[in-house]
Amino acid sequence: MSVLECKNLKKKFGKKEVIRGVSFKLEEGDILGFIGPNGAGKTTTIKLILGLQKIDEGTALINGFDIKEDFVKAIERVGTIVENPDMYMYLTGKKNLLLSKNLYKNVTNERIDEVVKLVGLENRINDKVSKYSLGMRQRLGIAQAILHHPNLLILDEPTNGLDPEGIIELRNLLKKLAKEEKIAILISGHNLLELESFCNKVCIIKNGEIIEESTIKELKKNMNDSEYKIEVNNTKKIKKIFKDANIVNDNEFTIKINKEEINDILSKLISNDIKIYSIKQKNISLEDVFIEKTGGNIID
Amino acid sequence: MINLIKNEIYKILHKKSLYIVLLITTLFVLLTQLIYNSDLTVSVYIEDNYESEEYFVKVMENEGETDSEEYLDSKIYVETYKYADSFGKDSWQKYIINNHEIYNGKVYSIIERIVKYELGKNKNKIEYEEALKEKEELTKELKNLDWKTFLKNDIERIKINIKNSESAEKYYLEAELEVLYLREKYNIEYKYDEFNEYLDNYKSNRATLISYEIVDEDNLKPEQKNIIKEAKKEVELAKYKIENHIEKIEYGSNHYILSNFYTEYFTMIIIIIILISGSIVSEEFSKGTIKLLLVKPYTRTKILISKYITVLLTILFAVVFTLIMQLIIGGIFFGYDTLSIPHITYNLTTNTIEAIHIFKYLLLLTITTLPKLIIIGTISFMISTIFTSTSLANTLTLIFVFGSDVLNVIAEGFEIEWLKFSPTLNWDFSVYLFGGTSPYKGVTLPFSIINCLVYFILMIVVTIIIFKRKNIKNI
Repeated sequence: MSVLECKNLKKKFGKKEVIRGVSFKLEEGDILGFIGPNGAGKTTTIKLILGLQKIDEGTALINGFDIKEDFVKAIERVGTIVENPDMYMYLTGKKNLLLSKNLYKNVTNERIDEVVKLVGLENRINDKVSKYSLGMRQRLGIAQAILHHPNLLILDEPTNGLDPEGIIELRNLLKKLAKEEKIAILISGHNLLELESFCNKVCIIKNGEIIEESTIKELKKNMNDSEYKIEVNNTKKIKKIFKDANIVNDNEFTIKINKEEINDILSKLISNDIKIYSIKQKNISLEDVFIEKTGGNIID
Repeated sequence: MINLIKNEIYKILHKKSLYIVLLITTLFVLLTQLIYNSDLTVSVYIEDNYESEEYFVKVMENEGETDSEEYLDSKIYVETYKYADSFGKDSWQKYIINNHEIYNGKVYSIIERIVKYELGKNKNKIEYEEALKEKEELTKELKNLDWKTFLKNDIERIKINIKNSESAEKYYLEAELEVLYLREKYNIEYKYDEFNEYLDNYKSNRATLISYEIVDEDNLKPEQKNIIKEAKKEVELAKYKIENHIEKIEYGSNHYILSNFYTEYFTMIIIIIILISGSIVSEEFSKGTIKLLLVKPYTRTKILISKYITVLLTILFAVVFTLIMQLIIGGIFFGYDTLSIPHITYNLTTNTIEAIHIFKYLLLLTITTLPKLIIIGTISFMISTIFTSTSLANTLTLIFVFGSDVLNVIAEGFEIEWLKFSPTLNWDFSVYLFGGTSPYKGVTLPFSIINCLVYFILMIVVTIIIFKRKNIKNI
């Protein structure tokens, strides 16, 4: 049984369809990066899963329970931060955690100390939240989310406000939770590079639809086809030799090939009497893939 | 669900605004005691009046304006008072001279003649000497009498007067005679005290009642019926207080303020209630913390009902807090002696007197005022939930509370009957205490109960339905 299973989720705001049939699955120990540009429908999808907004069509099953029909059982083992880590600002961090603790069975005071230590807030936990920085609130939000030993963690842009060091800590923490406590984690964001190191799965969402669902490995494999820029004495004949080559100017052209094919290319050039001056690999990052995939997201 | 309620209370107790409002409430209670403590008491009225007249006389004499009528009147008043006072400050003679119709007139005419002669307005010396002689005789007469003998003589005098009088003034004399008998029976000395006040009250209202006895009841107009009802009530109250020797509740006393508790502190209590009920839901929305709450394993209905129960507890807290403050601060100002005096009320249905302990009366008042407080709290809770706006909830509720007074006045004054369906005409159940009836046409106790229940249930159901369907928008 999947920890989280979304089937064809749909949501309209008035006449605008903001979520157009989102489906995906999350298994034990998975860390899923839920990635998309602003306004793509990430937060709305998360709110639908959590029952914060009404689902128009489709179902969201958490641990096998339908969030619409069986809310209490479905939400029981979910920990979450939605949008911002909104806390009761007039209370201390500790009191915020106590309030959360009261609403779950089987959470002890020792558990509070444990999670506080886990997110590294020991020194400031008795300060009022109004004195916290955004990063500290983010940590408190995570502490609050994992307090009751959830098996599904849904974090909406948790890297917001974290410094690079904080991001690394968060990454290590989440990896540890996924591995040791077998928690499934759904983590949203718009920065693929930041999430690349966290996740083993990626969902890319654009205009309320999932346009790519794969593992990070597969994504990277696709990227093995790199673009090479080759400088030669003359590019006039090139188009005849390589049909998919791109002529930049009289002396340069680019071509997308696997690195195993470089030798073939070079020998063909030599056999056609073309002088080769240089060959350079153009780097394609995950970011390029992301922009290529999500480019032209229209916020409407 | 108990944990949800506990959390709500915990959050409220950590709000600064609550403590600010409680502090203001305490100051308000303090201010109320100060106002009651200031010189507004009626009991020393006669001395005050004398002092002001005496001052006026002195000013006029200093300015040499002793010719005017006003000066003459004041001078006679002052001299009469001085004469009465010469029998002793708390003497029965003093009371007689100032209040008894015959002796008051007698002394006035003597003093008038003396003063007029002394001022040179009347040159007739024989008249002056006659007046002096009359004064001496009167002094001797009053000094040799005790008040009981005086009373006996008075009773005989009235009896003779009744025989000789025409029917038009007979009822007044009959009332007077009843009062004299009461005075005799309960040994009430002529004196400036509450028991003489009760007797005066008894006399005037009894006279009204006797005057209506000759009229056939079917011919009475509704206003006249009301006058009779009111007079009956006053007579019974006065009689009960005389018979049971009930001390007067002074205006500035803990007892008095407690018996008017909700009149004095209604606004303050409402402000404490609205502070909580108008923000308990909407603030979670505006701060985004509602998301924390809604992803906990509780249904939305449970979450909302816990918040509503917290509002109900707040209402009780607001009442109890204000009450305790009044008891403490009122006790410091006025002491607790008056609390042992029973609270006397007149049951308009059974026409009997009910004497209950002030705390029991306060409890009855609280029970009958709670529906009003609960409905107001529910209104602001509903607005706060539906519009998720604290300021809107506070403003609309306050407008409603103050507007309700205007609406009720319109309903009563213009006798608009369909307005009886407004909750504001029904929510004050204290009018039904001790056999009372609502001042509004068509409003009865069962009608009010059903009316308030319908509004209450309607508001709760609407609030729950809307809260359940709410989409948590991006903040």
